[in-house]
Amino acid sequence: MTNYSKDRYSTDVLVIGGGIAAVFAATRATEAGAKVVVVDKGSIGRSGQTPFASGMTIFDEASGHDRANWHRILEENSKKLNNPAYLDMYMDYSKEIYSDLEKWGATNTGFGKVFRDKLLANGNIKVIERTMITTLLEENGHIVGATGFKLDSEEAVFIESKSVILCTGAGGFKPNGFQVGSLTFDGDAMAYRIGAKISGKEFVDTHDTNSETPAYCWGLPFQRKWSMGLPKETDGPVDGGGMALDLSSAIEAHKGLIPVEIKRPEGPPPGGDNPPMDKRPKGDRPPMGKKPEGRSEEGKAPLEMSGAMVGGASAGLSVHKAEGLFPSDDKCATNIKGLYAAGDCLSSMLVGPIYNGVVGFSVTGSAVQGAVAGEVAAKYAKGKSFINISDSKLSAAIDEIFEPLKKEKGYSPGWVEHLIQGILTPYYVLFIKDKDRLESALTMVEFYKDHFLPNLRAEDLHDLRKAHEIKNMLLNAEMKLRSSLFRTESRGNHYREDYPNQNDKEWLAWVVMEKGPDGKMKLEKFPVKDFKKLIV
Amino acid sequence: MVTHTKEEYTTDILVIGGGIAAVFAATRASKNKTNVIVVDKGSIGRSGQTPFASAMAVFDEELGHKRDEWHRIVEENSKKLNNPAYLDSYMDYSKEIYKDLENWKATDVGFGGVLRKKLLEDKNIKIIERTMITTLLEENGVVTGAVGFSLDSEKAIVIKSKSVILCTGAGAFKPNGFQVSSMTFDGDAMAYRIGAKISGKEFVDTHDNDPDSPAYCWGQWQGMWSMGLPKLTEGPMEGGGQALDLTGAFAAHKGLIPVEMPRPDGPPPGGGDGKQGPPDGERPDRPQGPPRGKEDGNGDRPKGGRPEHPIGGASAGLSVHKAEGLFPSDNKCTTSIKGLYAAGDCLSSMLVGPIYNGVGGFSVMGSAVQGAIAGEASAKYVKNKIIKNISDEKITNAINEMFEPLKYEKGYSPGWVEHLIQGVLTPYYVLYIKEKNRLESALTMVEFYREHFVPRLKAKDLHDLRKAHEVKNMLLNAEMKLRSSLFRTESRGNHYREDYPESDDKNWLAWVVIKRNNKGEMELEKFNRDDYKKMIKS
Repeated sequence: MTNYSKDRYSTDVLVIGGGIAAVFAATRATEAGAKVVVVDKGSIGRSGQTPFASGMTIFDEASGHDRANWHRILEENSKKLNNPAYLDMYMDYSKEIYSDLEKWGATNTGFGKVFRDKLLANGNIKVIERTMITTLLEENGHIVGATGFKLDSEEAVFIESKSVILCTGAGGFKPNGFQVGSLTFDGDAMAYRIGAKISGKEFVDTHDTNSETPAYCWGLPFQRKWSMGLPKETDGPVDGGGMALDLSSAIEAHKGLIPVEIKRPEGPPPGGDNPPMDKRPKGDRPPMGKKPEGRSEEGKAPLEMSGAMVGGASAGLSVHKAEGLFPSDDKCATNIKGLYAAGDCLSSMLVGPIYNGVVGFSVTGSAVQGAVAGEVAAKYAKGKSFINISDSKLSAAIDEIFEPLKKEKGYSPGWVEHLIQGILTPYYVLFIKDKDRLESALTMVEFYKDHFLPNLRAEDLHDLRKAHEIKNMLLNAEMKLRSSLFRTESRGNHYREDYPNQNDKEWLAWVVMEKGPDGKMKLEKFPVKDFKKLIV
Repeated sequence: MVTHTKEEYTTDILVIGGGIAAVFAATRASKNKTNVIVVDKGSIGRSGQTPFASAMAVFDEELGHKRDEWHRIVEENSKKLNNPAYLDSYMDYSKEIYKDLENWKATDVGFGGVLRKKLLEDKNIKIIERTMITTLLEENGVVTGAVGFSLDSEKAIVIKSKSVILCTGAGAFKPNGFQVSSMTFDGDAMAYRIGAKISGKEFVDTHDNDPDSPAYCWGQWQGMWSMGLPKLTEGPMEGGGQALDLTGAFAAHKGLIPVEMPRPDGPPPGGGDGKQGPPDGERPDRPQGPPRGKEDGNGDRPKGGRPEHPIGGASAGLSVHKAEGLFPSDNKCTTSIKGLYAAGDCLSSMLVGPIYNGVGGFSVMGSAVQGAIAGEASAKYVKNKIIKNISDEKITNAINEMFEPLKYEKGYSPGWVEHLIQGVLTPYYVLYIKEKNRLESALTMVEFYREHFVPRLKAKDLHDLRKAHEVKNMLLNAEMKLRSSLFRTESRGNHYREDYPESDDKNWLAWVVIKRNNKGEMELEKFNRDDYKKMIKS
């Protein structure tokens, strides 16, 4: 038995994460009559990529939006790899979500605090912050709860729950300067380990930085744009992938044997959420003291940027909504009973495998999916009783969490982190891909997995968090490399130098992976047209 | 367009490098009535690993040394992979070399300045410092000179010579904190490109480091830099007493803990250049010379110098002294290219085999001896030879290629590529604890860098230009190291294959010789160690 004291909770719905998806999941679940626990590694409302958000696109027939037209544009822009079921959900919910946010007073202020206060004020929601969930607990294909540890005291946390909603966001390899260091694919990794299906791992975010000060990417384009409001965008998607970040310029550069520059097409920059200033409705924008200098009016690089734009700011991150748990329906359900996912940890393929000519979709998509997941999880939990989990199983899980603290000798998580970065962040591995290089990286990732993971040593709780994050990063690195090897074509933000063309005959399909019976990663195609079978 | 200037020289013998091998090569050649030019990237006497030297082992029958006994011990310690021919030349020359150094008054002072002065005073020797040679010139298998550039002005240096002696030392991947970063395998790389045979690349130096401050490994050598060359007279020790055995590292690796490098009893590795001395700290004939920091009375280490649990990696990519380099075609430092000689750590003389081998003071003495022999052999070779004509076109092409990185508006930064090389090659699980998949993984990246970055290295200035050429040389050598490590499917000396953990005497009493074939590919073959006898010329 473990010596660690543990906090124990029982709840109908456990929400893991603290971004906008988690906020909507929790509030909607309580509205549907459920008791909710929300656990976040950091602080509610300021976690994940939510603080980047600065605009929401709303579908509104009253504004002349046409459902069929949105479907057509998205499908074209997304290289036919989007999931229309989730676009429908988006169009169904976005207006009411925005109206919720207006009521909360979240649209024209620093909204992080509003979100947090909203959950804290709700008597049916228990908020547990600065706590890392490391392990999902499962019995016979049913989710039964989760366990983790507190970042501030050597205590385990165990939450028994009828349902779990992952709102854990995407992940990156803790890129230099880009503030997504807490996003380490935790949800995808935990879910994979209990048998969940995962998809979309081959697509990469290509956020850029400048060649002169590559570690300062956060400072330049995003200054004074952090969590400052959520103005409504009503333009809808733009024809012709106008805002897509296309890798073709990078590819040209690579072929020309010069450093990879990521040129922006005309129109607003990628990221989904940063429309050019002149397109923002007047008056929607909160006062910022000074005109934001993040983007010039043409949507080109801001004036203070010097040097060429180069990719790599977001090392390892995926396109919003592309990677994550593979949905088993159009309501955020997964193949594990009682386990739901919403936002950037759900492979909903809302905008396909590329930044896709849609501003304000990212954060709205997360909010919408959070709301839907909250509703369905509450419904699922109704009338269910708790499934018993044995003490020995729980003890084993908790012992495993704290194992790195017990080692006298072992590998430093920070050292392994640097090795992972060294292997995976160079542009010629996950940006410009090639079979030999992917396999070379995979060899090292497998070596780290076999050799370092069993003996990670944590000096303190900060290190312990890092140890678990590294396990999750490595597992995801393997997924990214294997699915990149598997998809023998180029499409969206997946470019294979050795398969430079799009191959519609073979690859109008998503790559779905799961842990096989032998413990190895199993990959298979799921044809996009079969999304219809997912619709409940 | 060409914006650089050009200086041309002709000489009998060109010596490249500025360590102790170069000093003896130049002086002996000059003594044999030849004109010599010595070109060094840095400063004569302070280049390469020579400044590390702090003692010289001398063979002297008057002191009771026995030739057979030395052969037996070195062979045993070297896991039967040493080259006895070069031990013989060592025993033939070491006494007179030491005498020379005593006459020069280099044995009890900071000798760098003495060695430099010695060459400056010699009227037959011209010194060109702060100049990097990038290209050896060759016609029909005969060396004809070399091309390089000055580090301080955009000036090409062309030297037409009858013979070239490489004294360019070993190489490393510019390790953090360990002061061998000017050594980037330049000689091996240049020679390989003109068809020379290379050997010993699979063996690695395992100098250790402090896990608490790994970039401060140099601090362990405080007060020991070029402070004198006391004579060592014990000769080699039985049982590989000074070998750095990787077994501790293997055990650590298998046990999944960070690799520690436990030392056998006795002094630390490093070729035993005296400082580490015999275990009891008694060192006959040691001059009461220069201050060396506080001594702890047991092995002469400065206090606080040595970590309790040293870890490997201080010398990332370096080879064991005398193990790697040009493969000799005889016992006189001759190579497979006519007129091209090599001496010291750029000659795969296998003086002490593939491991630090129970021999204190062999490293620097071996380099001096081989330098002297190469100087003499080269002087003999150039007699009656004429300076070969080299076409202007060939020289212009070599110069243009050399300055090419300065001309790019866009390209890859040599410093960036250097970091990538370090990232791939310095982790302990690549060149220390080796395994097929990991070696191949590293090789894939090295090949990609070679194909993709090397043709577009961009230099902003002459410092960058030097780095660009060093990066090319490092990458070529990384490929050699990885390929020969894959080729040797056994473990021996400082080459350890996790997947072939045993020594295999049946198949591997052989050296791995690398050569560029007609298609430009790297070709590897075995050379049976016992065939060293065929190399011996009287």
